[in-house]
Amino acid sequence: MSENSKFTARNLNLYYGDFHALKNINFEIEANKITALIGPSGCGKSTFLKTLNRMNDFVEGCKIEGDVLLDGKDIYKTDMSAIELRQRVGMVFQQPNPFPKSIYENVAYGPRIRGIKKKSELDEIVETSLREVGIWDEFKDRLHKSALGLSGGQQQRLCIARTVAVHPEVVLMDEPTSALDPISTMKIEDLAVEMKKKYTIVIVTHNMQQANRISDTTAFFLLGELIETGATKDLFLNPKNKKTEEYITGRFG
Amino acid sequence: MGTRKGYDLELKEINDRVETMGKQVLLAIDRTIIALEKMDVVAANAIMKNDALIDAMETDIEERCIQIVVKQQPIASDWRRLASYMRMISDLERIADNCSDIAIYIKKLASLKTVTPPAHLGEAFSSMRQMVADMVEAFHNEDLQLAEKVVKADDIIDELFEKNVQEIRDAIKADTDAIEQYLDYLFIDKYVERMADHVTAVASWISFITKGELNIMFTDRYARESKDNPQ
Repeated sequence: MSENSKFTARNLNLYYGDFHALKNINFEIEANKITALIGPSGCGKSTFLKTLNRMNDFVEGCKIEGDVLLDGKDIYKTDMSAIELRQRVGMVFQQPNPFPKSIYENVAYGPRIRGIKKKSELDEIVETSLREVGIWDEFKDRLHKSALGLSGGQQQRLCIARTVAVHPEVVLMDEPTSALDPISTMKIEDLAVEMKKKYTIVIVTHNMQQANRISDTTAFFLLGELIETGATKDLFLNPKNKKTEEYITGRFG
Repeated sequence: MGTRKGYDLELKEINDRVETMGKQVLLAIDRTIIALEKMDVVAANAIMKNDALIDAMETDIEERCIQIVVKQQPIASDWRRLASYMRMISDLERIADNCSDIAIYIKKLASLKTVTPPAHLGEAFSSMRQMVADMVEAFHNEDLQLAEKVVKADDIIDELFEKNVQEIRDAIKADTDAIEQYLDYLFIDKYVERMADHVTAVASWISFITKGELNIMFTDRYARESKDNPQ
């Protein structure tokens, strides 16, 4: 395990019933970097992402073998609760999913259930979080309007603000821009690059150019196996594995 | 497989056109060698007229590369190829220009009293021609070893260039009435040396295409020449 490793997967196998979804994955995710997970649908990349904050716990018949270490501690074999884990490892989904509440309440929700009640304190968290994702000026005069009235891109950035409001260490993003227009996509990409100073980011994307633009490391999954991983600038210019080359150049998938 | 058929066909088409352009440049060199040997003014004019064809090939390939980049956003080996093609065709076009430059001097020399050309000019010309022939073959077969041979051969041309300069210097001293002709040969000598530099650059892109290693060969002459000499 390298010094800068945030997550380490060791001999990780995951089964959904009889289906072997992740096959002996060994992979390190570096802190304060953006790691992109790519591969065709059903290759295991989202499944792998979900093992990092135990989202697979909800799936019936899911069995996990091997180790997933967060800062050297196995997240499946410690007394750390899934709730505590998910505070440290936040997640942003493909479809923006704001709560049917005001902008303010969306951001204050996490801190509130973590016991922060003082209004001034919550006000500050809301402002800081919205500033962090670059939407404070846009939203400050309508904090108490419903989040459902926002555009898709605004909703997604609000969801990211909601995620960072509980001060996570890692932010997982599962195709965060696939439902967004190009301008909103660029804003999320810029935000992700800005965010890596503070957080470790793992992003699943079907957009090769996006992985190429924003990630430091890229991992290519195929049929549950981790086929190739490497510095993004090398992997997209000169992939070592023929399957990686065929996939990223759009020749199968 | 086969999910990007149109894209693959266009990539192949561009590749074939680059190869054809390389062959046309080789043909221009062959014609230049013969025209110089025979001091053939008609052939020299034909070389210059033919340059428009090679220019058009460059423009066509360049446009195709730009279009495919915009439409298909190539990455990995596809992008390595296209980026290389765009650089290669620029150097190929310069080699063809140099043939025309030499053709101008052939016409000039043909109008003056005949003098003996520098002894190593023919050798420099044929060695450079062999580099271009090897480059075309290395490109066709993606033969890295042959491409490296081309790169190494540049040193031979540099040596021959210096020998020719010395011979021209001696010849001018011996026959001051023929300064014009020898200056023309000096320019031709220099063009041949430049053509070898261009083909070296083209060959060095072959390693980027095949291995992804960016190892462009620039001339080391400036580094050599700029060394402070204490003597």
